[in-house]
Amino acid sequence: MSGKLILHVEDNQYNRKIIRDLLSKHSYEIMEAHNGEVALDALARRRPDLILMDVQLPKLSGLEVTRRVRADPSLAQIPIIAITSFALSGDDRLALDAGCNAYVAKPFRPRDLLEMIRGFLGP
Amino acid sequence: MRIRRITRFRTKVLLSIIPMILALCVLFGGMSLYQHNRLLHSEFVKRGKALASNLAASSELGVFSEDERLLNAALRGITGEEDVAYVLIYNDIGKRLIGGGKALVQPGLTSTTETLSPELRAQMLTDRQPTSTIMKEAGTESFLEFYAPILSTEVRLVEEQYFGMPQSTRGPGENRSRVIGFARVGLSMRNIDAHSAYLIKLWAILSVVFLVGGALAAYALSRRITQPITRLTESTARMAEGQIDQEIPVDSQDELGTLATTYNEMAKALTRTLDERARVAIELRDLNRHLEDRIRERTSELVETNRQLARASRHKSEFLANMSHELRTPLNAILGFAELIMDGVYGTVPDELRESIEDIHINGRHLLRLINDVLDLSKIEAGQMRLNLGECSIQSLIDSTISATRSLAAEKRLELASRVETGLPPALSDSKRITQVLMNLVGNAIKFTPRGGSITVTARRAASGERRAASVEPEPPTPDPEASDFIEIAVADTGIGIPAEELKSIFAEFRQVDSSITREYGGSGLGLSIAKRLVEMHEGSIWAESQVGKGSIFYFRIPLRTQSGGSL
Ligand SMILES: Nc1ncnc2c1ncn2[C@@H]1O[C@H](COP(=O)(O)OP(=O)(O)OP(=O)(O)O)[C@@H](O)[C@H]1O
Ligand SMILES: [Mg+2]
Repeated sequence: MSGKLILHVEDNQYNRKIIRDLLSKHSYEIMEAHNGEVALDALARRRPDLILMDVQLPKLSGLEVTRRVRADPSLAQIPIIAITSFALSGDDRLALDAGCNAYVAKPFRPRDLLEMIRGFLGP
Repeated sequence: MRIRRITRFRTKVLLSIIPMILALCVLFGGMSLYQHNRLLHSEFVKRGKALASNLAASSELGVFSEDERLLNAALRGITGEEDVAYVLIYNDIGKRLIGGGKALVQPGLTSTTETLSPELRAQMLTDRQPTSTIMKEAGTESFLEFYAPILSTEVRLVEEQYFGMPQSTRGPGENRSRVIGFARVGLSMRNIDAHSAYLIKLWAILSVVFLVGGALAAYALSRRITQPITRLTESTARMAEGQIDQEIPVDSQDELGTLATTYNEMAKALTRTLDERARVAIELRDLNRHLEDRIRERTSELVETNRQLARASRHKSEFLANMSHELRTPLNAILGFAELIMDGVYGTVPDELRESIEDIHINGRHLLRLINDVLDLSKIEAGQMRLNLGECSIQSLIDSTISATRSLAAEKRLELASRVETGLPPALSDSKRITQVLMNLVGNAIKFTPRGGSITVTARRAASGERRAASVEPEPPTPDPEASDFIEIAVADTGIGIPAEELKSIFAEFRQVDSSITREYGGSGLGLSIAKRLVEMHEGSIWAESQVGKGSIFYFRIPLRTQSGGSL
């Protein structure tokens, strides 16, 4: 059990709760942001080990936040997993182009996401 | 050029008429002049003869008596006469008795006037005719001379008595006369010559007048002919230049007049025709403009309608996209919580709850698929779905489909295999959409094949127009004859099969072979219609073969194209 810090950027509170419940069960520390600007504020305060980024965000889009993270030398190395919508074709491509390391399409199985996170952070 | 020809015509007329006039003048003038002169001469001669006879008669007594007074009186009676130049009287032996007249002193005359030539005398003595004429030239003047024997009747009687001369052939009156002398009258030719000269002059003047008059008349006549022709020519030239409405004056009733009238009628008819044509053209143009206006009106109406439709359609798809997002978000949350519960994130699930949680999860997933399918279909329908074309390996698409469905197949103990022809070229296609088609077909095969069956996915290259030997209807339409090759993918199963009459209709929306299937297997009947549309967007075709109870084969083809050569 690692205790690694994960930043979850997501506007829907229930989706945040699902991830929070899942990850805290697996002993990750969660930092949450409900929009892009809050996410950038949080990043200025603490450097997470991984970012889960919903692509569709109000105000600053997830893709824009990703680009800013990649542009900041102190944050550039943080792995980012994009959460895209299956129905919106092309999101995955855009996410990878913006600098995300991987993506999961909604709806995803919590188990699959957990496995992907472990792939980046180790068991 | 036309004008010059007409001028030449005029000259021709003049050239042909003037010699004619000239010839007429010369001929007629000369002839009448000659006649007149002859008449004048013969009158002159007659007069001269008469004068000589008169003189002879009146001088008979004077000669007889040789009395100068009487002779003078006889002379005086004649020298006053017109044209009389000189008068001479001789006795019977030709000796001059007396002379008179203005021209008696003319040189050349005097020498011959003393005596009368004996030949003349002898001639007059024998034929006793009163007159004979001889021309005498004296200086510039010329004269006609007349001689008459002077006869005496009384003396003849005496002579008869003395000589007893027999008179056989002579008449009784003449028998008695005797030549006692000769009268000689010289008439000056000056007057008659002057008259002749005057006539010639007159003739010459008249000739000139006739010539000029004739020429003028001919000129006027030819002008009367050429002028209408010139007018006609000029008018025709103007007409040729486009001024159709021509009218030329008609100033005669002859052929030229008729020609002008006919010409005017023709011009009028032509004008009428052209006017009519222009009118028709204008009408046509108006009609055209009207039509164009109508078309423009209609077009703008259509454009407006189109715009409204496009806006409505955009609204519709925006609405659908928004709605599906709104629908999906809570649904995703529901599914997420259900999965967390099932995964034991919230602690161990009591057995009596587990099944209900699973039902929530199954129905949620079904609802999500339904939402996605409806969204896809409406997007395709609205023309909003764009293919994301790229060259992709069919092998890898089949592989990922099989690995995604392997667990599902395994749950039903189905054999799932693939056979891809070696050396299959990459196809220009949207890999995500082709995968979607494959997922639908393989998903159906798994769904409609009982436990223990098998499912095989094959891919091969097929030539266009090629018919599969086993093919039952429907035969795939050949979508593009230009594309010579296809990639043909088949999903075969050993499932429940589809009745022949249903083979076509299963590709329609919400169409399922039998509604009990829905209850038994789930699904909404949208999978195949979406697959069909996706394949058709690739300009491919999809069809199925089946035998009830034995199994089904679903085929689809997409044309083999490369990035450069394709037109997709
Ligand atoms: N492999 C198959 N074997 C037998 N029947 C089939 C097969 N595939 C499709 N069908 C018939 O065609 C119908 C239409 O299939 P389609 O995929 O469009 O709908 P569905 O599978 O019923 O629902 P959905 O795919 O939307 O979940 C099916 O309901 C079934 O009756
Ligand atoms: Mg289906």
